[in-house]
Amino acid sequence: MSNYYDDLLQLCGWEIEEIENERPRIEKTFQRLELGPEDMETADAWVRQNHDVTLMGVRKLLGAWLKELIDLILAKDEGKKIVYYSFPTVVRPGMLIAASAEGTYVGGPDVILCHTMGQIFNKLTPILEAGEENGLPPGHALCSIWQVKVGALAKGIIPPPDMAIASSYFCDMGSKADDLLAEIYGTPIEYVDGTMDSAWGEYPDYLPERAEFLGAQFNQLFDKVKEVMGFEVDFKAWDKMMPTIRQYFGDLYRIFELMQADPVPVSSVEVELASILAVACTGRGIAEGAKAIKILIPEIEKRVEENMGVAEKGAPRVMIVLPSFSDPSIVRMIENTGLAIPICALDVRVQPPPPKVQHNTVGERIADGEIRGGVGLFHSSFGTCHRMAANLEQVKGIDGFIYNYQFNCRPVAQVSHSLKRWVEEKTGVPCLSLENDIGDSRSYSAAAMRTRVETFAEMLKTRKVAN
Amino acid sequence: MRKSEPLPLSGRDFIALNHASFIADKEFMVDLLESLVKELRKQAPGSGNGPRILLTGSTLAQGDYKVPDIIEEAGGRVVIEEFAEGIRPYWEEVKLEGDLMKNLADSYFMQRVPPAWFRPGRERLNFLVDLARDFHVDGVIWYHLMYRESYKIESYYFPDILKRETGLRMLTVESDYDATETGPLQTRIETFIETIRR
Repeated sequence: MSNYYDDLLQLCGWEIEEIENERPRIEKTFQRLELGPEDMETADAWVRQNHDVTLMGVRKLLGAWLKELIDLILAKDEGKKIVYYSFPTVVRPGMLIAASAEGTYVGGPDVILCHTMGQIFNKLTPILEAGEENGLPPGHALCSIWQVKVGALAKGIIPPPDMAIASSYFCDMGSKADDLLAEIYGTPIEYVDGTMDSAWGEYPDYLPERAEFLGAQFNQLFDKVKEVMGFEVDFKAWDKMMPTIRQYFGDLYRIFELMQADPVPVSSVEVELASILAVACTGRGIAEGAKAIKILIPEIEKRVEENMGVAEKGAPRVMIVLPSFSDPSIVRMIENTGLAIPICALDVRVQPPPPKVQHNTVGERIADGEIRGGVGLFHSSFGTCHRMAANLEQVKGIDGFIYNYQFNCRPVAQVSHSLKRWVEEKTGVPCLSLENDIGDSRSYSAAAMRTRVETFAEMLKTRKVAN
Repeated sequence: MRKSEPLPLSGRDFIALNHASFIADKEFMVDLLESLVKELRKQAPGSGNGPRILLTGSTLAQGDYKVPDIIEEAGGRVVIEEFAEGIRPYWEEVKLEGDLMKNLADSYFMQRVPPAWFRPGRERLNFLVDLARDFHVDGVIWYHLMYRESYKIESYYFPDILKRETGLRMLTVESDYDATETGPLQTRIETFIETIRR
């Protein structure tokens, strides 16, 4: 028996059998999300407008996000214990916790809601408004990602967690919003603090005490999991997970390679669906995402062979930091100005220097890996600037850089102007510092940013012809 | 002395004294405070019986007297403040025996009530509840600066804690030091003072 949501789910890569098997769960989820037949029509148009649904891999990725959404919404109903982590996240602790106990839901609910209620249903605004009404008001440069989480909890969409991990190694506003959860829902919070105290020019080096401190915080987190959740974090679980994770990221890097073709074969919004899925969730989303990527790779390979792309061959190639989590039309707007986006800065990986100190605990090793490797964000402001410039030098043929930074994110916003200067001086690549909001496009819509991006695009096109 | 009734000096005067202590010569300031205490003990009981106010928030900078002035002009009496730059460092003394650096760190990081951006933030909120009780206040005015997100977030859930623990009400006001905000602030503070007046 079909229902009003079947067509949309099939558009998002679900098989008929999957829909039949999950029908009660789907209906319970959609009821809680207040999604009805009209929402399916809106979603159908929104998905077709912004995503390339001729690619089954893309449809399956959208479907993977929806499956993760259902698992999130129903986690408490289905007797699972729940741990939420915050963004930007150090992924491994969450994965370790998830792998240590069956029946535990571990994930980043805000990012999942952005990708589903935003990217698929275009219905994130009521959740943002609920966040604004419940402790994180508008007009105060408070993080929209957090407004989504608080709003979804206030509306009863997502269940209150049994424990939350605060990413206070990066952000102070988010961790203060964790206090809000503690006060309102009684949620035990583990604050994972760090010290981003590196001098300007000090990268990739850093004081080893930084890793010791952050590592001790991760170790405290693992102790807290035992205390609150009642199970020990199994560090050997990491070994069990590694083949899956390696496979996922190995396949993702294959897509990054394919994206270097000219013309760029698919929109950056499709790649983002895959790259963020792996950091927003630890369960079914990853497993389903891995299958979707396997389908997507040959589809993109075919496009490369046939010289098909989303921008014209020879179009100026720009690197952006990261597409919007909630509104794919922004990246589509950039691409529609005639710019090709072959890769996002946060997807570029460079070989980290070898560790200078052999750390003894799991927490310290995770901390050291994040500060030494990663994308520079967890190192320092200079680390971020340095890495952005290094990324532009590593990825060949980039004509421009759009530093599209979250305006209300203290660490990334405060470096926006120095980063532009640093990148342009070091690489000669023109940089557009573009204020935006990764979770809330009410003030930072594609239309609002179009004039600035178009001007930048025209400049890059002229420059490319002149060179 | 500020716990007593009638109030020996206005909140506005105390705030001015506190701010003066930041820049005045310490020996001069100690002499001045000692003579002031003697004078206050001798003087006739102060006038006024308006609501006793706990004024708290992020920052009460030197020269930023708009809110305390409006409170007192509306008939309220600021009997105690709790701000990052205000009275917070004076609640405990640095021990002079033993390792002085350790004592200093202990005073800064362990003894002193932490500001809002420390988490968990409940210690400061509990301290505010204690201040409200100890200073027999009739209401709390929470005054923070725009974009001080930690205080903004706390101001959302503290009124419930305050109400539950003391039965008191709280008014939250916000400023970005804009001259045009005086009128709206005045309206809100005057209304609050009227509603809590006994």
